[in-house]
Amino acid sequence: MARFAATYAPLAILALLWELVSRSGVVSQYALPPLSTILAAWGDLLADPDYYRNIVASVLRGLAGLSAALVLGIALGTSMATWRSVNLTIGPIVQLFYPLPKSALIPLTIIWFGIGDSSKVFLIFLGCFLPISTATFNGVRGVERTLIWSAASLGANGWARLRDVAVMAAIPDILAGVRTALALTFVLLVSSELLISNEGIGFLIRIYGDGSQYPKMFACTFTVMLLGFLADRCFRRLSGHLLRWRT
Amino acid sequence: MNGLPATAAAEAAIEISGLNFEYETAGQQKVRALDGIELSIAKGEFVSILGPSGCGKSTLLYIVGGFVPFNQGSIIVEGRPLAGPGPDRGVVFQQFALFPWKTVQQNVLYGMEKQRVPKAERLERAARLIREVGLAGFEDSFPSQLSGGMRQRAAIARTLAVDPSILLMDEPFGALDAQTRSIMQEQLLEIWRSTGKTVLFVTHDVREAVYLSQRVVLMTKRPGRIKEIVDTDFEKGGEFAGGKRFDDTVEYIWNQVKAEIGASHG
Amino acid sequence: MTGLRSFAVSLAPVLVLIAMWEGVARSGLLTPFLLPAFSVVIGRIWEDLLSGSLASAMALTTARALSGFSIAAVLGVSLGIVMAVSGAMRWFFDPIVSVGFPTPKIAFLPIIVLWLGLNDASVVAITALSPFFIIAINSHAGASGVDKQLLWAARSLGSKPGELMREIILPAATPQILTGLQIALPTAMIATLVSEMLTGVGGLGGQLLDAQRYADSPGLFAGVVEIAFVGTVLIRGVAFGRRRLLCWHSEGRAGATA
Repeated sequence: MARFAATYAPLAILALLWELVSRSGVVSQYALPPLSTILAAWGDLLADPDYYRNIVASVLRGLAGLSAALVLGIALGTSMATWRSVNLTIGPIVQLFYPLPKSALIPLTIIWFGIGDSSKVFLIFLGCFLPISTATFNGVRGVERTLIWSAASLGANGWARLRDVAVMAAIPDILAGVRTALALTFVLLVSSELLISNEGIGFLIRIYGDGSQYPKMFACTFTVMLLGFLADRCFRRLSGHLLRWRT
Repeated sequence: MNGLPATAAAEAAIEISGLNFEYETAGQQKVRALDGIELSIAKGEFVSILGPSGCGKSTLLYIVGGFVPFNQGSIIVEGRPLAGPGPDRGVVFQQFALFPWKTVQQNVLYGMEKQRVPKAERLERAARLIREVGLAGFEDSFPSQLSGGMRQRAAIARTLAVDPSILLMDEPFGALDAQTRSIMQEQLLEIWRSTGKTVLFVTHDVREAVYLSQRVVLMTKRPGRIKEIVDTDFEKGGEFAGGKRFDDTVEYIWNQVKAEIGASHG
Repeated sequence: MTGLRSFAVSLAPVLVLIAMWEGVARSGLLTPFLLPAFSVVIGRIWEDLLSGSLASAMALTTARALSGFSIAAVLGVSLGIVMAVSGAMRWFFDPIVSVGFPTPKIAFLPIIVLWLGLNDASVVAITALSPFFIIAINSHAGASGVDKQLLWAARSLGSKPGELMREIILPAATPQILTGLQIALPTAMIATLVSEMLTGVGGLGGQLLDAQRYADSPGLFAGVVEIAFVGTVLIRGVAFGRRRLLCWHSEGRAGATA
């Protein structure tokens, strides 16, 4: 407990500074509402079912897009690393799209799928698909051949070798790709919701901002921070568990 | 254990004839790694392949394992032409090649799962093998938590679990310290004597080859050819107290290997 | 010759993709609104190029991206090194960085716009904020990973603290600092484009959003191609710079995506 306090004391200092600067009147309370006001507004939001509905909408969009990218990205990356012909046909296209700043796809997904869920899910899928498939490709291609050979001589057929050995050995690389993808998920989710949407936590930030309800806008921004922080912690837990065999 | 019977050909575990192997370098040059290999290994025999590094001895083992396709010649394994890797030939690699994300027990179970051995029998056999290689108590450890010798023991248990009739070993003790190595050699001999498996053992250590095996196949440096096959099937007191015949054989082979290394520099 | 051949081999799938695009668009399977023909999109890019609007939008976006990124680089590298050197600074900034890193910085855009207005300053500020933490984390890791024996050796040879920083810590931390910069660049570009779309201050992002608003789908697709071009040039440029700076270092190349 004492360690926790020592670790997070700097955040408390920042919070205190914020409150003091805001109350002192050096800057307008309109632009920088006191932290206590923001927390009070956050308290109001916590009693509002609408707040939760929007968070759930965002989280589900993120999860759907990321999961689709995970499944198809791992499948494509593994295929590219396993079959030369797949690599020769798909590889150059992957390389072509890899450096595209994914936020450029936001307007495109909107004309294809409208402003609702499907455009956001598709956007996140597109954004996360390449980092995950590229990471998987690198991981699977780097698998020690003796591991594959061992499995073969223990009686594993081609499919089992791919599933039990190649993909398993690529997990550290895949996780690195997922980490990039997770960050992209949040950025694309919040960006697209800020731009054009009718639901979601980014949508809330926008409407509270448009309505000059700044304490609530700040509270929703903090909500996004909290979600990002929690997602990162979950990811660390998961990757610690999946990589527990490494010491 | 009785030398090389005349009927060896009929009972051959591995019959290699006219084997050539070439590979292409990045610059698309063809390199001949193995040239005209003729070798017949009887069932239950322990044969070592010895040669300077780069002579293709590991490649030969990988070819027999079915991992590397060969260009010319024929390989008959227990009466059938070689076709890919299979559980009839168990492989032990120098770097263990344990699945690092599986525990010792899960590693040992893997092959039996692929062979569809019933679950109760699987668990029972894994427990027995783990005990026999001296890893009792480490069933749930990951390879990264074990020492080199323990990892190699786990790898050997994994290979034995599918009960292959042939063991292909690629410098299996090369990564171990001297003491562990000598313990492992005794265990291997023990396993060989009690199970009667055929062993093809690749090493660059002359003493190890002479001590363990019944015949030592000497190879030339690139392209790898069989230079000579030395009979080493006699009573040995121990790896470092083998007696006069042992020492003479080691010295003879050592001179041959030295000549080979020297030749390649010339 | 082999280089040329492998280039041709890798070009083929791209040409097939373009041919499929053109074919599907012309077949009427999809409306021209959903998928304008490739030739139409290229025609639009050509028009933009001739009218000079492409050059000015590219220049504007690149300038914003690079100035924000440069600010992030200077501040991030400084913070990382200061944290590696001073325990007090590490104590203070560690929790801030660990909360800041997983935060989607773009969520702060409305707050920044509230402070700075709908203008260049907001775009540059969010562009600087987005890659800042990644750069700081990598610089910190690089600077604190400097071999202790190297420091002892230098100190025993009489290096003063300032020289130690300039001659030992910085060069030793450079590979990881550059890796951090390389990973961070796409983050900066994403932020620039989104903030251009949100603030309506022109540039490639602004044009893209206008095209979407006016249902000008050739303009929209042209915009995506133009942005991909800028992204590729910037990412390749940074990768090239990193290789040039690291010619003494054996580390392999690291990729980057946006």
